[in-house]
Amino acid sequence: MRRGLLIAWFVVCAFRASAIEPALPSWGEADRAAVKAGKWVPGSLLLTDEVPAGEPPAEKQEPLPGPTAEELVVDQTPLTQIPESFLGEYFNERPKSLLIDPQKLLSPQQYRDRLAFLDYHATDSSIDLVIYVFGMDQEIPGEVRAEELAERLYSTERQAAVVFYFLGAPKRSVLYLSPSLTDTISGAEQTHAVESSVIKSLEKADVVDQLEAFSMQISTRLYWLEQLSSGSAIPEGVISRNEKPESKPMAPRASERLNKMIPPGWWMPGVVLVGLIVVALSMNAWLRQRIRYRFPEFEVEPRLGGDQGAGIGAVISFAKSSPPPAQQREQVPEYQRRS
Amino acid sequence: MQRFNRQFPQLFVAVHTGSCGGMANLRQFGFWFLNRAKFEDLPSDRGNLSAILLVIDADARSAGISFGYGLDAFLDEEDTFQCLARAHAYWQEGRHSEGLVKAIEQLAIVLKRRSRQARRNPVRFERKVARPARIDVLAEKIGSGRRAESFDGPGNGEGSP
Repeated sequence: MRRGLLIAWFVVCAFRASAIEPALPSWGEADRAAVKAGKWVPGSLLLTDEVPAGEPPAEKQEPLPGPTAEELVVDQTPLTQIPESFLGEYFNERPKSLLIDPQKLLSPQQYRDRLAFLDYHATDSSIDLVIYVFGMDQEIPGEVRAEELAERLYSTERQAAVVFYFLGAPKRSVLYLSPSLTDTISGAEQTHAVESSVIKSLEKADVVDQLEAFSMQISTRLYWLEQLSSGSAIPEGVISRNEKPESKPMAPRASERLNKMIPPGWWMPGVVLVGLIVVALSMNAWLRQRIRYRFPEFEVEPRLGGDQGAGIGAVISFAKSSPPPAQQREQVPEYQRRS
Repeated sequence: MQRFNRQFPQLFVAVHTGSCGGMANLRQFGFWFLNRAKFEDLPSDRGNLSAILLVIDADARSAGISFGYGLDAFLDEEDTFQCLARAHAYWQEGRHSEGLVKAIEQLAIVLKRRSRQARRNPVRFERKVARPARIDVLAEKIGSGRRAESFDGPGNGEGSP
């Protein structure tokens, strides 16, 4: 009881303290006289740069140092190691699938989608595209030499292009080729392929979309590299360093589609046939325009005293939407019509 | 309407809009108007036998069709009802001219069909308007036929009792 009263008393005092307003400032006699004499303008301290007397001068702050060029290029995020439990699945033997993600960085659906694309690429190309997926801040252990890995695992069976892809950091991606391909495809071409793929991937914001864009672009580049290895000439626009992002292939024009549909030798007969049809339709329309409809004349007995006619046609009311015309078909008086 | 007149040179369409002069029944008005009116832009010797009269009473919000004896064999109430029903929605919205065009278009469709049918089989339409046989003529024919039988009767001397 006493404790409760004490607490209540403290609370009331706190409220009263908060309710007490601070004293309002008041003019001193000297300040009032200075303002009236015009010697001092209230608030002038805010309007000028003068340092009021008694205050120390403001210290000039030196500009902060900007980032160095190396800091701009190299990501300063500290790297982590790949858990040892996954190293065997990554690097021990040639993987069974073309997408290696033992850490389950991709969801099952995303994994299936990417793997389906890689399988489709493998059916269409003699160079398999193998992608190892790592985390964006993970680093390959020092004891794993990627070149040795490519020689050990990918020198037999099908040729392969191995990509170490860091999910969320496509700039760190690296491409390695099977030993049989490195002799025919120069390092510069490989670098170009990776650079263009990275550029494509950076157009996307989502990390999985980046992987998709990267894999599609490098698949395209692999096609051209395959052409290069087979000795075919590649258009300059594809191998140039400053190539622009590939635009979507334009849909064939109508004339091209038409050329594909109609064999070359059938053009003249086709034109003649179309012309004949047009002429026939025009003749038909002209004849229809000139056609005249006539009726035989019969002798009709006059009725109801009418000399000219007694043809009783229908009458229809359009005062309201009801009854509709269908219900007015039977010409009966209103009182006989059901409501 | 000009296109109608071009396609059907024997016929013409006349339209009357406005009140029906106090006559409550639109049919009566159409009958009277068709038999009494003379149209200025037609030759005087050309009667209204082949006329189709559309009467639209905007006050009573009703419309009717009447036609001359020349079309008795080719038009009936169902055909004219179809023409008016085609225009019903337009007239209800106050678009009288558009409704009129639709009604005339429907009328043209019906008349074209009837013209083609009449060209193939005119007897079918003639029967619709043929006068009924007079009784005395029929009796005369029957009597002459019986008299012919009695002269060529079955056997000599044998006659009916």
